[in-house]
Amino acid sequence: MIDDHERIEELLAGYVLRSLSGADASEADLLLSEHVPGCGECRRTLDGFQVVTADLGFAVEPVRPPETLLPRLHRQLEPHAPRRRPMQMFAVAAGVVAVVGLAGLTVSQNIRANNADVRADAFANAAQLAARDDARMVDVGPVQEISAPGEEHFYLVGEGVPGPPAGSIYRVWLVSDGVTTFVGDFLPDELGRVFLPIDFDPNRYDDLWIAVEPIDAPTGAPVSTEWWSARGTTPAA
Amino acid sequence: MEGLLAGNDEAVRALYARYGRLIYSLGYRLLGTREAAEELTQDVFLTAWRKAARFDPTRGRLSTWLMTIGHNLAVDRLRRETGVSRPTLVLVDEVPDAPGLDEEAVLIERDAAVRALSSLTDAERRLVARSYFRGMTAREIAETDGIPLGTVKTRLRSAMIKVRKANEGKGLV
Repeated sequence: MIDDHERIEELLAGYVLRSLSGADASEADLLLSEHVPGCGECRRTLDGFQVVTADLGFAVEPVRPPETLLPRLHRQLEPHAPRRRPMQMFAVAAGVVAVVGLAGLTVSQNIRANNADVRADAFANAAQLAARDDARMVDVGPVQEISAPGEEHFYLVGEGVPGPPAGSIYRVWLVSDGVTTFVGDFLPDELGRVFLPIDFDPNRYDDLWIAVEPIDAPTGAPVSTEWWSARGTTPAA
Repeated sequence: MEGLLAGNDEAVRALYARYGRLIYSLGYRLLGTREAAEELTQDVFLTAWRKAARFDPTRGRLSTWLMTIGHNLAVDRLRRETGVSRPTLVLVDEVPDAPGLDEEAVLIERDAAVRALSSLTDAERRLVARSYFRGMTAREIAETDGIPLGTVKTRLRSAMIKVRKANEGKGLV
């Protein structure tokens, strides 16, 4: 892990300004998922940078919005108005470059999410997969598993995913005949979004587990009590 | 926020009254059209409504949370709309006169933001403006301005530290 204080500040400043790309963005992803949650100084730096970055928006010249905007907003907030389903994330962020903004992903084993181009392609593929009539969408805790018959990969997608407690991370396993295979870790970005392409054939596994785990916990099997199963098996079984 | 969680009309109206113009202005300056600014404003308040439970007042102010949502959504949009004509940035020169009571807090924040930006060198301010207000990455800035990438990243870091220090007097960072 990075121990260069100036480099960490540089990455955190770039992260809050959204100015990172390429290797810097990947490095920041790792920093944010593996180091910052457990480092008080870095969390304070990140919080401080986020405050001042947000405050920069106050500097723009004020423009009066149209009178019709508030009534339109109210209509969208009506209790019976349909809320966007998680899958509408694809519609909201349909542009492939937007995937670059999904930060906080840890790259591990078969979770491939650190390269902007790969993410963009994966995002487009996931949208196509989700649109299929035979697509399977299963809620697994805070995210949704999206797969389809005959496809040797699947996706975890989420919106409004709460960040885990400090020092913790979401951890993913696949289970087959009682044997767990660690897939990787993830964190939602600052808007609570998660998008993970996973190169395992879901048809070859009995279950998918997701758990909120201490960052330094062993990856053999869930150790926490906060976990979810896609097919109903239990880590303790 | 509890009212917002419940979809309470008055809570939404109060939140919009305080921050609607601010978010709309940010959207207009970043995205360049009134239509895009309206869509962004709606998306920000819808996001705030859906995720009100995630707002943690111990980690920051409501305005910070809303502006962060707005900026991220705007940058996402700028980057997926390739070829978008980025608008000319207009920073406020002075605090507008005759503020209403509801706008007083916002005007104080605006004044502080302008002062914080004025603490930067011209080169730093230019880079921050290109990054925050135009959604450009450090690499794009380096290529556009003919500055070494390392210099861009270093200046952005030093700018953020300066702005943070300029805000320390507010007791917020």
